[in-house]
Amino acid sequence: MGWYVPFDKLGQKQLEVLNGITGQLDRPHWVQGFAGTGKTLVVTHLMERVAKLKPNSSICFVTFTHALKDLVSGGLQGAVARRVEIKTHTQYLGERQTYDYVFLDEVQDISPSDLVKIKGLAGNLYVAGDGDQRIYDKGASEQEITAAISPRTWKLLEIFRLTKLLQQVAQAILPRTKLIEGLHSSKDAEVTIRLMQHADSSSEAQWVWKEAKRRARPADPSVILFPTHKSIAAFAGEIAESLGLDKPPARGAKGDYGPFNEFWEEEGVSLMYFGNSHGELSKGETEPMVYLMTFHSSKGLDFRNVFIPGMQDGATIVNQMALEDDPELDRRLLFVAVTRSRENLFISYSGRKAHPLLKGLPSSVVANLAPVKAKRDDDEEEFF
Amino acid sequence: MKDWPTLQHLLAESLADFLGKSLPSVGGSDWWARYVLDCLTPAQARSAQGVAEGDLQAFDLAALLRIADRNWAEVALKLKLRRETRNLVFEMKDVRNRYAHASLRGVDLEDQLRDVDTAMRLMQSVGASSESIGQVKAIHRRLLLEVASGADGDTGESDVDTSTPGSSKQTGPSDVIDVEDPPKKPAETSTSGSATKKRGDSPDEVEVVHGEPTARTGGWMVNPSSPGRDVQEALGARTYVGIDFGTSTTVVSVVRLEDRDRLVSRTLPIRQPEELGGSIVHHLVNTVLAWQDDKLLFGRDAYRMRQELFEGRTVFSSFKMRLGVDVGPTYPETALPKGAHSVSIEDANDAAREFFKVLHAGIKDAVTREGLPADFRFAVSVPASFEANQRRDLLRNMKDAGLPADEICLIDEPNAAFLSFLHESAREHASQDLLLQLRGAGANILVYDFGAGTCDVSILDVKITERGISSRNRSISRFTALGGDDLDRAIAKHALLPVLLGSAPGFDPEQRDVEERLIPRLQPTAERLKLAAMEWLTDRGVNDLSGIRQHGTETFHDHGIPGFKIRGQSLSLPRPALSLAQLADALEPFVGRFDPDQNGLHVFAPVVNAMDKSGLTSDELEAVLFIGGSAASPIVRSAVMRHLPDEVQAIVPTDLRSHVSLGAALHCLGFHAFRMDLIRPITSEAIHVMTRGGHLETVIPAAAEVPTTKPFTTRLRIDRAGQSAVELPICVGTESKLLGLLRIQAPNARGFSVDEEVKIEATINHDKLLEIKASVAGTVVRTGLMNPLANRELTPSETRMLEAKQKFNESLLTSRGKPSKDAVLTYARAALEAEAFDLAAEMFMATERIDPSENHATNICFCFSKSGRAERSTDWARKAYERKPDAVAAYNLSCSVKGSEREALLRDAVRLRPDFAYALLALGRMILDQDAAQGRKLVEKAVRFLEKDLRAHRIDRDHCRTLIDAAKEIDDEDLAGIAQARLDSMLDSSIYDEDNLAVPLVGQRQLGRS
Repeated sequence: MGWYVPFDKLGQKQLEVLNGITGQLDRPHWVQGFAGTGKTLVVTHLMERVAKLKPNSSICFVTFTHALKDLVSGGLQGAVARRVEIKTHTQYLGERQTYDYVFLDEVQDISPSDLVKIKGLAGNLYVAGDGDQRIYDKGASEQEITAAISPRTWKLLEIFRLTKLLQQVAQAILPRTKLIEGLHSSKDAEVTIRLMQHADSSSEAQWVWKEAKRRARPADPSVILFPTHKSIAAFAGEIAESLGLDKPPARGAKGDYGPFNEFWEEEGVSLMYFGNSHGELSKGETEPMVYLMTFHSSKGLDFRNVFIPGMQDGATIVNQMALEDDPELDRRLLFVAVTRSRENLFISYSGRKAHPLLKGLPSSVVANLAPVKAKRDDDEEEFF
Repeated sequence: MKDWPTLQHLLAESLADFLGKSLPSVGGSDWWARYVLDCLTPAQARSAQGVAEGDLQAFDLAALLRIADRNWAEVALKLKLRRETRNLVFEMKDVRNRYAHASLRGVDLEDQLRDVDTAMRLMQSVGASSESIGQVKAIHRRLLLEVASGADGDTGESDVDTSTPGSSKQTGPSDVIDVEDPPKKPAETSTSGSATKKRGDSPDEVEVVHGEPTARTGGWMVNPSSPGRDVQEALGARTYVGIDFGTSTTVVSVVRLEDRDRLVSRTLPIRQPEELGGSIVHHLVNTVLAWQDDKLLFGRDAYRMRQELFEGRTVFSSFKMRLGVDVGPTYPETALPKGAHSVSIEDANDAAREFFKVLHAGIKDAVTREGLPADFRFAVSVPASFEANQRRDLLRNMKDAGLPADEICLIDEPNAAFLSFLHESAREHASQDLLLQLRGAGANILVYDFGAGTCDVSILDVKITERGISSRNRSISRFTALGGDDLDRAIAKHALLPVLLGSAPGFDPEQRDVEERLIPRLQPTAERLKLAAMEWLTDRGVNDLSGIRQHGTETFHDHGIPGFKIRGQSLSLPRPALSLAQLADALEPFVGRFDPDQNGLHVFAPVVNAMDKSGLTSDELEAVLFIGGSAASPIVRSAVMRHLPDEVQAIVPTDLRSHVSLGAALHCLGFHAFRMDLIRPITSEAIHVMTRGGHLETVIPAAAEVPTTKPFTTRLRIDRAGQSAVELPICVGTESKLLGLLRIQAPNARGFSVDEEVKIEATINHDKLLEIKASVAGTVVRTGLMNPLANRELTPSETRMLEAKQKFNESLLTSRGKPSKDAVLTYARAALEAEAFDLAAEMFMATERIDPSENHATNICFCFSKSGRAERSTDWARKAYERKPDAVAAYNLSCSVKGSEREALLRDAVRLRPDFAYALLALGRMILDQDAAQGRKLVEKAVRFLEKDLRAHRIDRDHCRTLIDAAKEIDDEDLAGIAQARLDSMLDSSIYDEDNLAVPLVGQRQLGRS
């Protein structure tokens, strides 16, 4: 819910785009913009507007991940919420139902052939997405998107979410990124990006868990991002051990995290996997939650506290084969991960060297830190 | 004043009506003789001959005021009138004298305005008809218009030299600034002049009046798009900084030129240290200091760590609220005592100083980063109701922190907020309707500032005329110490404390433990839960209590509070929870149903207070401007707006927390660069000196414009030969809000002589600091500030308790946690006297812990009994009796037991002390059923002993109360009445010596300027 911005608080450029598209609803449009410019927000408002302007039409919002689906459905209210169907793109294609108005988010991760199919099922199609955030190897390139749907493109240039420091880090990771030259309007604090070196993975996991938990508060969860499910399992194992618990259940068939989440809930630990229709973000509204997510699942979401552990030299961000097909995929994935942070970003690694992708991080915005064990003042209070 | 005859008539009529109804009820059958005729002066008595009994309407105002004055105490008691009403009668006598004896020069307009205000308030408190009050309001409004238009009143002041011509300090005769063009950019807008009058039907169309923008008149304020060259030069040479030093959040802003020389006020992001060694750059700086790993953190991370550290030991917050309250070392448990580290924080002043040091460094760093000039000027905003002592402390702390004292000015927060609103409206072309209204008839704007620690409400009367903007502060609400913190405390108390205490069954904490240790420990968690719940509710559009209750089961959780020990008890709260039902309960007193007589905590109460003072009714308000972080909650805003007419507009700035600092920066530019006040503030309450007999003489009247251009002079005299000293207790508003005491010792043993004049000169400087000079027979004392004691109303016994607490805290600090027995005992006794029984019991017990040979069992038993802790009281009664079976101990124990044991104990007590009234009374009452005659005899005996004490003036309050009841039991109503009167007179005993007070100069008491 925190991402939703009411109409009267939209930025100038966002309003222009919204009004521009509303004036030409009968043709395809593509809303582009750097992370944090509010693409999904504009599309959501557009959808609300269409729902009002075209009262008898059918409307579908299509997105790439379950996480985003939950997010959008949480943002819509009242009559609009009842009018709009929200589906992942695989659901949408599987059902093959036609709609008058289709809004497609994260277009860069849809394959060109799927894109053509989606267009075929849509009376009118509006898409949002940013080529730099393409993290699925089948995703369409900019040219392919243009060829498939011939949209009018709109660029959002004002960055509302990312602070300047985070933007610089993102740029260092993906130097050729475009769309970054825009205005900068984040109201959040500019906090030094913390790059933490730990002696070993066990002490790293413990530090990350403790810090993530400590910083989480109801309505502001902490999120720990991992490149792979394997790294999630290893991290969760370390936490369970340090808390004196049994090993948590592994991810089940078809990526089932149900038993894993139940385990933590039963142990009374505010930890949850979120992604692929498992876990719920709403829990973080009322409790100080720590979420574990993959880089992939975190797309489109943002959080005040983001931790990216395990970034040592040699760590796998994507497997070798995928990297051979698309040599920039790991950069784009890490780019997506770091741009999930709204304020506090902790990147950490164990051992001697950090991952080569982190080499170019500008020293002016990053603090290289070793964890300090904070002394807690917990003496007895008795004083006479 | 040309309306004086009308005003006099209306007031006399209302007073006669009121007295005619009330005096018979207090005076009984011969009220006319005793309560009317006996009160008159010989001359008035002569005129009264021939007046029919009961015909008060036949008296003139002077006589009626005299009758009211003489009988006010009893009338007020009977009718439950507020104590302040008595001051209104005193003030009105002055007013009447002023016009009766007015010189040819007359009375100046501002005094007239104040006088009408006094009359109106007095009429309201005596229940005058709405028609009469309406007429007085009309007079008030007429005068206001005259003042706003810059008229001089009946009098000129040219014979008093107040400033050197051409001096940079000089300010104009009124706070009027020219209104210039609206931004000239839109092609369709006329470019021929300046905005003031509406033309045609379109509200956007404005007719322009010619006028050149000049810096000296503040044209840049309302015409930000084309500041003159002098403004550009000023900004090129210096950086004008506005600081909103808030209880929880501090914001710094600067005025700068942007986008082709548009003048804007912008927040300045400040670099704040981060726990791990990095930094956090943000314009919101939490007013919090934390000591961690031998480092002093401030701002955001210090705030975040509040939950993990100990308030008063390793984390220091809300210290702004404690400025001006001298209770000795505020933080007796500090980890930073003097000499231990490079930083020392022992009290609120230390914390404020250290905070300003780091903030100052942060400002310098930010200004360098932004490429602004390194030569600074500062304006700091303070609550309008901040008293002189608080302002003094603030300025001193800033100076001690290295900020250049000469380059700091203060501005009241509501005024800064209004400046910011005006500037923003002009820049953004927003709030045009309101601006048009300001340009027309003018508007009353209520500024509602709800911060973490304070809720200040001011009513500004603003008008834009063809001559410029005139703005004056109609009233300032009392410093209510109601803030967002109080909501957190309420949540901590209602939702979290019971669960915390549940973790240690059998633990019954002392009041001080609850208030000073447990609640502060729970408060950060309460705040986080509140914020999460409020966000959840805002997302769902819920903005009232019934809405919250509909979601009552929704529950919010936060991290556990780690276990800690108090008095050997382990306490913990593993899973703090707040349901929305609990939230609604905690919020109820603040935003629920509003009852003006009961509900001082309600967010609407300060509005009522401010409206009362201004004499306005709610339909005369045009808008409410909300500022302060706690007003961000729609629940709070709707609880305020709900009680106002629908026509009143709510103005909510984009960033409620930055608004004041943006305005302070604008003021900084106006004041430092051009020596100009955009808004001139007025004092919130009158300042008085206490004279013999409890009369208050006004030293500076309420609503005096600040700074005072010349001293107000008050003359008193000495009426006792050989008086060895003169004491001048100075108080604000009422006698119980003591600001300090001036003392002038006689130069020799003969003392002062009778009729020696005591001259008091008082001024308030630009920063609202009160300076008082008093002289008697050539001896002069002066003070920039008096011994500051407290900012809220205190009774003298509470004052004594604060003094004792001060000593106690000092002792605690110097002895590193082991205070001296004497300090604890003094504190205990002061607490007992102030009827803070829980605290007193705790301190007496502490005395016994420090020195086991001490025996205070009887006192402890008494205190617990008074605070309603029956079980503990019984324990201590038994302990006292076992330790020393005297009459009092026997009696005390008898209170907790029944039947024959009780009777035996009472008989024992009476045997040990035959004149022991309490025991006699209890025994008498006990046996009344079995032996009525004997029982009544014992009660009567007790009454006679108590009466003896009463007659000999050695009865205390408790005995007096007992006597009232007992006398009624034996039908001695007269005695009960006398005891009641004595009790009333005992409510306050003073910290100054009544014999050392001065008296007014008879017949020529002066109020006003010399």
